[in-house]
Order: sequence, then structure tokens, then C-alpha cells
Amino acid sequence: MHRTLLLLVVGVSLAFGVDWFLGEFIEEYVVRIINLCGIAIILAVSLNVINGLCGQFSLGHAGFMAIGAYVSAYFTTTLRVLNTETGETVVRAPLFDGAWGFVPALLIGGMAAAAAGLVVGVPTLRLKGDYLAIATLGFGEIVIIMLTNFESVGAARGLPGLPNYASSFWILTFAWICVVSSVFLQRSTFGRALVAIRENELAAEVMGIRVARLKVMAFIYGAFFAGLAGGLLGHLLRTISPSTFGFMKSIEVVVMLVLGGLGSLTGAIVGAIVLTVLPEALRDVEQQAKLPGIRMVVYALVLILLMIFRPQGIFGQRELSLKLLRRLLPGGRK
Amino acid sequence: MLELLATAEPGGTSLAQALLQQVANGIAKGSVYALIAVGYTMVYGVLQLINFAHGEVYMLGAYFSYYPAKWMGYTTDPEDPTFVPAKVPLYVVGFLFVCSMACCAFLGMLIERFAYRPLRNSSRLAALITAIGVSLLLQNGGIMLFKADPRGFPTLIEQSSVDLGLVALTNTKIIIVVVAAVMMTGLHLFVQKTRPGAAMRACSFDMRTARLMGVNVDGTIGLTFAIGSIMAAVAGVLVAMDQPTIDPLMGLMAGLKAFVAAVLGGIGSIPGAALGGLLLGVTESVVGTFSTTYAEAVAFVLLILVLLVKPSGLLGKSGREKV
Amino acid sequence: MRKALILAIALSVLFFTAIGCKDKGNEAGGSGATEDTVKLGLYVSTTGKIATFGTDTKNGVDLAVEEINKAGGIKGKTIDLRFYDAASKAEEAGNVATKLATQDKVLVAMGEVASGLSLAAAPVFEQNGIPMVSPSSTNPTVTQQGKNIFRICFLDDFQGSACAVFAYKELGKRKAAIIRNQDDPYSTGLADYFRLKFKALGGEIVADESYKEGTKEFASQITNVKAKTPDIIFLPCYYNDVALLSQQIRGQGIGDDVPMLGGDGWESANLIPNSKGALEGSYFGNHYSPEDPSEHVQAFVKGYKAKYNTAPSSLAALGYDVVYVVKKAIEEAGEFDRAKVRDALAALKDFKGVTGTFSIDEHRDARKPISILKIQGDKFLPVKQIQPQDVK
Repeated sequence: MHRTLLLLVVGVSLAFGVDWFLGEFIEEYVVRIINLCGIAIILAVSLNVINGLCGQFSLGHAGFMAIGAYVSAYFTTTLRVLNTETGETVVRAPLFDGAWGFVPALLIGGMAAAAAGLVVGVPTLRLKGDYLAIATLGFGEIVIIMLTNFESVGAARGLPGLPNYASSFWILTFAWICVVSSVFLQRSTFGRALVAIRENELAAEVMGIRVARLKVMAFIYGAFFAGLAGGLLGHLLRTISPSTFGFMKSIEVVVMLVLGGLGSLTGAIVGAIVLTVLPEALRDVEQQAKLPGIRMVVYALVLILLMIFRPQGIFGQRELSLKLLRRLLPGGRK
Repeated sequence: MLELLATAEPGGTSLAQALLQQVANGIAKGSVYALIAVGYTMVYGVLQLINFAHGEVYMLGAYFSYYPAKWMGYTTDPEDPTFVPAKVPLYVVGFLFVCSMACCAFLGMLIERFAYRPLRNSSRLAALITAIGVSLLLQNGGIMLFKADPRGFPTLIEQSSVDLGLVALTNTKIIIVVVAAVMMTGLHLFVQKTRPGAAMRACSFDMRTARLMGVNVDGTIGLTFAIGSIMAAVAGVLVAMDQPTIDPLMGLMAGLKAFVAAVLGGIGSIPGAALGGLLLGVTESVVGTFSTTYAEAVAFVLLILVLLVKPSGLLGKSGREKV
Repeated sequence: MRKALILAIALSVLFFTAIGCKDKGNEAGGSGATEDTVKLGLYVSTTGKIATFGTDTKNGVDLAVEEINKAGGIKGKTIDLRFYDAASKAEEAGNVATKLATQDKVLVAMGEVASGLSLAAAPVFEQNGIPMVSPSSTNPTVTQQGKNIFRICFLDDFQGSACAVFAYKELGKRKAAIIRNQDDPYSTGLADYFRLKFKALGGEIVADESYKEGTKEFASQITNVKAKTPDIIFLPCYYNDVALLSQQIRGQGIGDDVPMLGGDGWESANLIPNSKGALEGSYFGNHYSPEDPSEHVQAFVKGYKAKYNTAPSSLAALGYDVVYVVKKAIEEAGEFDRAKVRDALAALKDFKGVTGTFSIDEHRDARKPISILKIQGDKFLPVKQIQPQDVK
């Protein structure tokens, strides 16, 4: 318990220090990329619990993000709703007016996403592998179509004018919390039970693991952080619309995970950072080469080649540690 | 029902008539889904791989017939709006279909050989990610090569409305339904009655045993991809004939819907793909009578419902896990 | 001990909340100009879902920049155009906006076509005190994001209402049907305002159907529309969808006595060839007519055709105009200073562009008339001009 609190204090102070440092010395563009990396880390690490540890292949992460983003924005943002019958625009002041409301709104968003995780998790438990992937993909699409039709959250227009609350401090703090809690989870009996389910569901059940319950809990955990990340992303972009959370977004997160090595926490973090920074770095290459669109072609090619030559991802299921580094370096102990 | 028919306002239609019309629309729509779905279902049956790139093969099917038509001077020209292309003769229509089928068959086999075969023994997730990669590659490569703006497809057959008694459909839609029905029946017979078909079924049942029994597994898998791609190519040209603009992203939505249709019908089963396609098309259209806004969500709601009740799909075989 | 720890954490969280969300101040001023060049930024999507529109806009911008640089630049300085692809994604729009604002430090930024992407970029430019001019984001909320955000196109509400006025008053139509793209804010915006105005005038909306982005088969929607026997069909979509919709509407047997009507999204050289005659006798609202005999428009159309081998779309025309608007504002500001250019933009009066003569109003939006064009053969013929005051 003490260690948890200590870690939290360390993380929060670290985030605070980094936020100050970034604000003072680092160019805004770089800060923005760092912020996006932080959000990507939350997404990849939380999906790693569902896909990597528990082995449940989910393609619905963007749906949970959308729920988190919309619910938190609903509390922090001034809504302007056009009544399509009378032509009047109804203005509603934010429910949580002021910066204090940001974290509560984020948490409510996360909880709403977690509730959706429960709703999705319970019925889809019976499904395995590809079928589960498709069902979760369907769930994500349903969320998007619903949001596209809810006039009260702007329908296809989305919600503009989210307040500027997603500072590096909050993004890094939540990324830290997400990573630390995942480490604890991985080492707990719960985490080990999830791995058991991944390795052999039937055997796990025979060993007395309550498979159904744990699977749902993994879903809820992943969905909660996806919702948080959605809320953070919304407040960073300061506008949200259903199209931001399409199924390509889910795929992006899965690719981060697979790139780093499914089931490896550090792999997820590295994958998240690489796939956030790489497209930005390739932007200049594209500009120099005068081949608009080559960026995505390269991205796709890298993906295919990586899978062919290293299907287990960069780290496989191992974690990046000093020991591993030493072993990978030339002349190291094998 | 009769009352509903009777209350039609002059020139308008009653609800019952509208519903019938929507069913007819749905059958035409569903036939296309079915043609594409076959490709998903066959590949999944043999390799347990969701071939995400299949929607892009369908898109390329349309482009593979657009370019020959363009080189022969049958397309309109945005630089010169007054240019009226000649009517496309029937033998050229046939040639365009064959050309697109041949190119797509080759492309399908190429994708299998270079992207999927090296991964046959690694995890299914790796293969799935590769499939997503191939899909992204074809999409974005398509945007680079063909440019993003939609192209006007030549008029292969002059469209007209045909009155079928209670409902009316355009002639192109009727052609779609007929061609799809013929192709699906032909494919079913091929798989059930011929030796290569038997080899396909053997591979799908148990690939290792099939190899031991002397089946050329690699060849059979190549053939599976070729046939699936031919069906997608036909769908691509048929759709371009009915809805004559094509663009590099047209495979995205069509592929997703067709995949849903394949899962609905029971992935791995060819009659299942036909059933799933028709069911999806008709449900979407009928729901569309009442609200086109939510009709799009229907595909996914239907998918989740069917998966919950019968996880292996309507006509799929459910496999029990052995201990 | 534990209580103390919890208390400390609670306190620190409160403390950090208070300062963690600090708003970075505006850095007004800045020049973006060197000895002989002036940096202008452009961000549109040349890849992804809306690549077509971004590419058209960029073509227009490139043409204008080329012309201006050939003629000696802006106040003697050549334009150094910094372009980044927004890739049809809100995140990327925000990223490239930040890059333009903080790395390239441009004087003025131009972009995006889609309102959703403009909305993601606008806060970045607003925060950095850089004027942003959108060529074609029609959603009313875009320019509400701050005093540095401008646009030179009409808004959804004006355009939708103008179409309704034209249908009701000029064509004498009373029963309208709408088919909209539910995923596209432009389309739903136009549809909503058309619906409101048409009903307010006394007309009836007999059907309001929608479809999903990427749909190519509209049989369900058209069957529903046909059952309600409308006397006009409003299609607030882009030309690629309109080409298919119109053919399928005529294909399902809705006759020529029911014209179709739409907005500026229709304008494209591909519209008439791709719709294969189905749009004969239909109308759409536009910024200008390529057939306009005025020298300015014809010079633009000719220059565009020479460079790109195709006729310009309305998006290309707006892209072309946005550069000249910026040029005029810089010249009127008298110096290369962001705040001064901003003020000059806000005070812009009677700018003569290829998309009409317009002024910037107090909401930083362009006030300009809409031309209703009729499609006849392979020509767009102007039939009526509607002024902003006509729809009030």
C-alpha cells in the first residue's frame, strides 16, 4: 500500500516536473507529439491487458474511446444544440464549469466506457478469436453510428470548443497511473489468471479460474483506460466528431501492440511511441520526395514485412529491461 | 394488407408496395454482398484467416476493367465535356469482365504467395495484421496510382427501369441478381462435384491430413484465392456497371459489409455466404423503409445478435474444442 | 503515517489541478517574413477520405502563389508556401497546425476544407496569434473559435436557406425531399437549414433520408422518396455522390418534372460527364459560374486548365481566392505583422475574387451572394443571384 502511494507521488511529481520543463524549454510541436505519445501509451497498455494478457482479441477500443471522449466533453464543454424543428440554437453552459471539473469529467467518461465494457463483455464472452474481434468491431461501429445520429452531441458535426485542459501534466500523470497499475495487475493473481486463460482457457477453468468473470474484468479495465484516453485526446484536439473514432483507430492501437510484441508491457509502450512519432517523421520524407501519400504505403509495407520476418513483434512476450539490453548487445552473455 | 394497397395516393405507393420494392432492392444489394462474401468465406474455410484485403481486390476489379475501357476510348473525358464516348459493344463488355477476372485472380494468388504463405505457420494474429497491412497497401497504393477522385465508369449497358409487376428494378440490377445467382450455383457445384473442389474441401477439413493423402495443398490454396478474387472482380465490374463511379476507397465499406454477411451466414460455408448476403441486404433495405438513418447500424446489430445466438453463424458448423 | 500520506496526496492533487491546466498565453505579433520572402502556411488533406477536396484546394492555392510570385510577390517579397498534408484526420490537422505555427512560424495560415479538421487546427492558431483563413469550411462554429479565425465561403445556414428560398419562390415547389450524407457535417448542415427555411416559408418536407459515407447504392432511400411524390429533391452532397444519386433517381423512374437541387459541393468538371445526363435541368447554388464572362474568372479558368488539364472545381476556386485575400490583407496592413494582418482581414471590404465580390463581416465570415446555376447540356447557366439579405 505504501509503495503504491509512493509510486503515485513519484509519478505525479515527475509529471509535474516534465510538464514545467516542456512548457519552458521545448517547442510546442514537440510537446504535442509527446502528449499524443502519452495518450497512445494509455491506449496500447490498456488494450494489452485485453488482447495481450487475456488473449481476447478486441477491435472495439475506439468505441470505448469515443464514449469516454463524448461523456467527458459533455461535462466540460458549452453545448450548442441546433433544434432542427424550430431553428433555435440552445446553449447549455458546462456542467462542471472550470478547470477543477476536468479530472472528475475524465473519470466519469472512463467509468461510462467501463460500463460499456461490461455491457459488451458479458454477452460476447461465448465468442472466441476472430468472432470476438468481429463482434467488438461491430460494437465500435454501432457506437459511431449512434453518435452520428445524436443531435444533442452535435451529430456528424461533432462537438467543437472543448476547453484547453489536457496539459502534458495530466496526460503524463494518467499514462503513469495506467502503466503502474498494469505492472501491478500483471504481477497479481488476477494477471496470472488472465495469462492462464490466454494460454489455455479450458485448462484454466479446470484449475478453478473463474474464466467468465475475469474476462469481463479485463474488458472493464481496458475500457476504463480507453475512455480516459479518449477524454484526454478530445481535450487535446479540442474538437471531437464520430469520424475521429472509426474502426481504423482501433486497428491503429492493435498495430501498436503487435509491433511491440503482444503481451509485453514495455513492447506496448515502445510500439505506441514508435507509431506516433514515425508518421510525423515520415512527413518530412514525404515532403522531400514529393510523393504525397507514400507515407501510408511505407507504413503498410513495414507492417507486412515486420509480420513476415518477426511475427512476434519487436520484443515478443519479453519485457525490455537492462538485463535484456545487455543480452542483446554484442558480446553480451547469451 | 389489401387496405394498405388500396390507400395509395395517386402516383405514390402504399406501404406494402414500398416494402415489396425494398425487398427487391435488398435482393440486388445482397447479391453483391454475397459475391464478395464468398471470397472471405472460402479463404477463412481453408486458412482460418480473415482476408482483410479482399475488399481491395473488389475495388481493383473495377479498376482492372476501367483502364482497358479507357484505353479503347469508351470513357468520358473531364478535359473535354463535349466528348461523347461510343456505345460499348457486347463483346467488349465480355472482354472487360474477363480482363478484370484474370487480373484479380493473378493478384489474389500474388497476395497469397508473398504475404500470407510465409506466415502460414505463425500465429493467426500475425496473419491478420498482415492482411490489414495488405489492405492498407492496396488502398493507399490505389490512391497514389489512380488518384483519390472518383472516375466515371463507362456505360456498359444503358440503364432503364423494368416493371416486374409488383416491383420495378433497373435492368442492371436484374443482371446483378442473375449473374450472382449463376456464379454462386456454379461455384457450389464446382466445390461439391469436381476433383479440385474436393481438394479444397479436404484442405478446409484438415490441411495436414489432406497433404498426407496427396493433395497439392499450396496449389489448392492458390486456387482458393484465385476463385475468391474472380468472384470479387465480377462483383466489382457489376457494381461499377450499376453505379458508374469508382474510387480507391470503394472496397472499404463493401468489404466490411460483405465480411459481416459471411460471418452471418456461417463463415466457411458457401451457401452461408449467399444466405448471409441476401439476409443482410434485405434487412437493411426493409429497415430503410422506416429509417434510413439507422439502417446502417442494422448490419452490425444483426451480426452481434446472430453471433450471440449461434456463434458459428446461420449455416456454419460449430467445432467443439477437444481436450 | 498512512493518513498523512493520503492527505499529502490529496493536497498535492488539488495544488496541481490549480496550476496543471495553465493556459499558455497568446503570443501576438511576429512576422513570418525574412528579407525577401514571406512564409504562408497551407494545410489541407491530400490523402485519406477527403483527399479529392484537399487536392483541388491545393491546386488552386499553388496556381495563385505561382501567379503572385511571377508578378513580383507580396510587397516585393516572394511567397514561401509551407504545405502539410492533414491526411483527413483531426489529430493530424492539429499536429500540422502546431508545426506551421511553432516550427515554420508562418505569417498567415490557410486551410482546411472540412470543418471538423479546421476546428482541430483553429485553437492552435488562435493560441499562437496567427490569423487563419479557411477557404471552404462552412460550419458556423469554425469562426467562433477565436478572433484570428476567418473564412471566405458561405455558411451552411445561408446556403441552405438560399436553396429553400429559390425552390419555394422561384421554382414554386411545395413538396421537397432531402437525401443527405449523415456522416458529413457539411451535408447535414445544409440539409437542416434547408429544411427549416422551406418549412418556415410554408412548404412541406415529405421525406428526409440519409445514407452513410461511402454508400454507392441508394435504392432504399430513393424508393422512400418516390413513394412520397415530392416535386423537388434536395441533394446537399458532394459531386461524386450526386453523380450516382441523380442517375439512380432517374433510373427508378422519377421524371424530369422533379428537378434536383444542391449546394456548392456539386461544382466539378466531373459532375456532368459522371452523371451521364441525369442532372439535365437541375439546379445548384455556387460561388461563381465557370461560364461567367468576366475577364477575371475566365483568366482563372484558363490558367487552371493550362496547368492541370482539367476545369477547376469550386474548391479550387476558393483555394485560389484565399491566397489573394491574404495578399490583399497584407498589403492593406502595410507591414508583415500578424496582429495588423488580422485587423486588415477583419476590415476587408469588397474583395473581387473569382468566387464573387465579398466583404468580411463582424463574425469574420464572408458576406457574399450565392449564384444559382442551372445545368443545361454541358453548361452551368446562371439563373439567379441570391443576396444574404434576401433570406433573412
